[in-house]
Amino acid sequence: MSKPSGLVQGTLDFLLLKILALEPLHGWAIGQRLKQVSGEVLQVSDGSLYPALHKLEQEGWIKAEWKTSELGRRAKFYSLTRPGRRELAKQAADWDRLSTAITTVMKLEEA
Amino acid sequence: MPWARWLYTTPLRLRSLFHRRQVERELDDEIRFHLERQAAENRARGMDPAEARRQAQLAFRDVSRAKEQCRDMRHLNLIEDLWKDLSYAARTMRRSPVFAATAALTIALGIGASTAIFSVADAVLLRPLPYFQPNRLVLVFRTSAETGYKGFLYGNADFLDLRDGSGSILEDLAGVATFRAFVTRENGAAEQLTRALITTNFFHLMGARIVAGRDFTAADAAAQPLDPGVLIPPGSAAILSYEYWQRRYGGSTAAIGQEMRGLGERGPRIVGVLAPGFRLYFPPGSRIDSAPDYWVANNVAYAALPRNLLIAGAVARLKPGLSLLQAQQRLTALAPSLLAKSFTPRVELLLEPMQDYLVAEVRPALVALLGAVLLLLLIACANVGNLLLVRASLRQRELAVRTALGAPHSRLVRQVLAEALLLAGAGTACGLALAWAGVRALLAIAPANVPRLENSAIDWRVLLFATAAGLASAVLFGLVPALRAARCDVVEVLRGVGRAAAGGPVRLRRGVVAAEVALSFVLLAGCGLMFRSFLELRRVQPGYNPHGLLTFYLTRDWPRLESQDGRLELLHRIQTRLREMPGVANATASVAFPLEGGSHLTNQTAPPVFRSLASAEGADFQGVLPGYFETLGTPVLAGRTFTDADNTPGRRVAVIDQLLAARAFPHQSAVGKRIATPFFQDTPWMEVVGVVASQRMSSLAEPARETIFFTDATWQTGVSRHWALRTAGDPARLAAAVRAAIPRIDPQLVLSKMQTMDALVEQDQAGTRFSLLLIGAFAAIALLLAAVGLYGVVATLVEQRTAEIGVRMALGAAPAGIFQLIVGHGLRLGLAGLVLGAAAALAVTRAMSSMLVNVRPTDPAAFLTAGLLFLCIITAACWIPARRAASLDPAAALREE
Repeated sequence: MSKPSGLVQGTLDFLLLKILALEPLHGWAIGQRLKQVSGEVLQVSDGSLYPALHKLEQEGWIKAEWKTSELGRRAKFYSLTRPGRRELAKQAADWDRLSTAITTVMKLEEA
Repeated sequence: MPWARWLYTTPLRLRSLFHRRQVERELDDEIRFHLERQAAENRARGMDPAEARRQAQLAFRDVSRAKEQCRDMRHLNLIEDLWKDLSYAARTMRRSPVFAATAALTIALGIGASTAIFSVADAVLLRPLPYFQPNRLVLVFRTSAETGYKGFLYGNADFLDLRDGSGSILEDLAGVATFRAFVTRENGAAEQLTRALITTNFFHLMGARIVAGRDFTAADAAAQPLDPGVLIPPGSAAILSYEYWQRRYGGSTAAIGQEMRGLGERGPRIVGVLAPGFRLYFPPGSRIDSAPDYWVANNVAYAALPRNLLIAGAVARLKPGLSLLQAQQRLTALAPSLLAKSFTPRVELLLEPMQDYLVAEVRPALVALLGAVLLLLLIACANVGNLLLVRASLRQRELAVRTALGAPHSRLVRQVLAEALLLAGAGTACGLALAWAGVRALLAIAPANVPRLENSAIDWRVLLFATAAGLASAVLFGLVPALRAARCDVVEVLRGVGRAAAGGPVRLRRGVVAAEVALSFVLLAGCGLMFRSFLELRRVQPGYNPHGLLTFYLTRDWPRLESQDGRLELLHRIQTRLREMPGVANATASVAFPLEGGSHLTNQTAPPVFRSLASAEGADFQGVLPGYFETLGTPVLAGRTFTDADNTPGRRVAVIDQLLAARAFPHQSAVGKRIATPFFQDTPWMEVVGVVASQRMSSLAEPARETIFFTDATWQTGVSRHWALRTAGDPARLAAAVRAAIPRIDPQLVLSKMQTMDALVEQDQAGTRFSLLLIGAFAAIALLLAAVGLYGVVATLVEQRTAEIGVRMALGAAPAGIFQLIVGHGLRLGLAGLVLGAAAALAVTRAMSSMLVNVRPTDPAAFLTAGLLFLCIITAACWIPARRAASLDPAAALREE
């Protein structure tokens, strides 16, 4: 796998879930959305996006459907499932706790 | 909640497994869509079409790698790889069919034997009894450490004392006993049935189902009359077994409410029918019949019968939540008060789970057998592991080359495990076939004393066991070769150093093989001993001539159990009529009969007043009709046998056997002497008129016991029911004539158990034959395994020393010398095992003494034969690899290095 850094690796799942929580999208659109929201911070190649999506699908957190895309071609649209929504909430809570903790530590060092 | 996720994931997994093409196509489509969409985007930004496509590809980096990763995520590759590994394994197996067949058959033997025995153990030991909550059902025994007594039959009053006093321990207590009964058919002929007397709560306690009519209620138990000769009081209620209901009443519900008729008397009224297949599961020696035809409610009245008259077996259900130990402790504390009024107050009360009591006699043997077959399976696994190692060392180069070409170690390990799995799969399949045949064979030859044996079958539990055993053995024998494959050092092997590096496992392997040889020698020696005893058994002089005898059992319902008016006259009529039949040389009857399996009465003590006389104390006694010794062909050693004149009430003459004669009248003639007996109040002695050869009564394998014989009329309390005809030709051919003749003498006579004495002898030897066949089968399998193991070790040796052998031959060693070298090595190993086995066998066969007849446990013939047979097998196992070593082409052998 073209490996993003360890931090990004764990975060990618979270970001994908978060993006799909807004609306069902196909792979390419997810990639575009990812670039939009993270700018150039997350170096995710298009190639490593799909294995991540397939993994989430196998976990049962997202599901796929073939629908007609914006340009009239059939494309595979992913959407969040109910377990996926729960997983997202859980990861979000984890993330909150972690970032609060890190922020606190950073402030300690400044003082 | 995990199930909510499974809702989404399960169909996906199944799709990945079964619709692989479609899943692949969708993956292609998805990625093609992405690339085209990106190219379109690029074109929109002003790139020319070719560049737009190129940039899209570039952003994706590596399309095929991404697809591969997607497959990984879907676990598609795992299945694909497993499939590839298995088919590769199948191809390599096909290239060496001898190896594959040997390994698979070895596993099949191990799995087959253990599965067959497991299916028996499952049916007999593990499966719970078919009652309601059977783990809470116990029998309440009375035991005495002093006299060794142990029984669960109670008199009425004792039963009630027990029931009323143990309410804090037992939820309920029920009584059951079975008897023979006679019921008259419409045509006047009598039918002999098995009748159970039970307390009205029995079916409720056991959880038996009633399919028609109703269960007993407390009101159904009619009062029992004081006369012990009448066991069924008028106005009783009966429940029929389903089988008898079908047989006698054609399953008609009109039968309910009818009375069962018995010899002019009014029988019990039918109130219900049991569900099919209800059985009383008690061990064969407990005198409780497993399938009564009808059940009568018994009124257990406190004062109805003497306390010492045993009528009911006590079955109880423990209170819920009470452990057996707790219940036992409480009952032991209560016992003195429960038994205070009993006839035998000094006994103890013992609770025993019903299932434990049922299988107590066979459990140790079955557990030992199960242990033995599992050991066999373990040896089989060791052997196949050994064979795989031999192959692995042959293929070391191939593995090393594949590693050098980039196959990861994990791939090689998987490859070896796939081969193990394939072998185990084939072995388990063959093993199941063997087990199926084995169970059928076991059922055909098993002795009759194993309860619920007929339930043994290959069902899903047995299949589960076989599958688990197969998988476990695959892991067992695949593990060591797989680990070696993982450690495979490419450089060393390719340089040629790898061959010598195998010191530790070789010693282990040799140890295993020596142990195998030792074990199979022990079994073979045991088998030899059993075979010798079987031959001895055939030569035993039983004190009668079993050939040309037809035996059967004749009973009728005597209106009064004790007086049996007209009995002597009837017996005489039957005897005369049978003697007149063409082809019959003589006819007789007796109370007990050799090998028939009934109980043999032993007279305990003679009255002390007559201690001055020689006494028959401790001897068995037997009532016979005149002509008994002549019909059975028992040699008369002194004096005479009984005459018709002896068979009259009041005559006090006896015939004794040579053992009693030798003990009671040493160094003198017994004829004309008096011998003390405890039977008759008026004359406590009998006159001895003759001495006969001793008869083996209970079994041909057991020595005869001292016996005193009386005529039927002298004894009177037992009826001579066992008839025997001495015939000129084949006794079985008279069977039809006897069946026709008996009802014409008296329509009330019931004939049963007709068989030749030869058949009785066969049944008597069934136990010995069974042990012989079982040990024989074990010995054969163990021998085969030992041979395979030895072959494996010697073959490895040849393989590892190929270079050395090549050098020796190049330097002028003759092929014969090489052959001797290799065979010698195998022989040394085999002989070491043999010596070990002989020592172990000498120690172990001592434990077999009780199973042996006229053969010492150290019988030299058995040991020598086993040893010789073994040497042949060992030599054969070394022969094949040794010949290969001797026919090596030195040039090729060296070049291979």
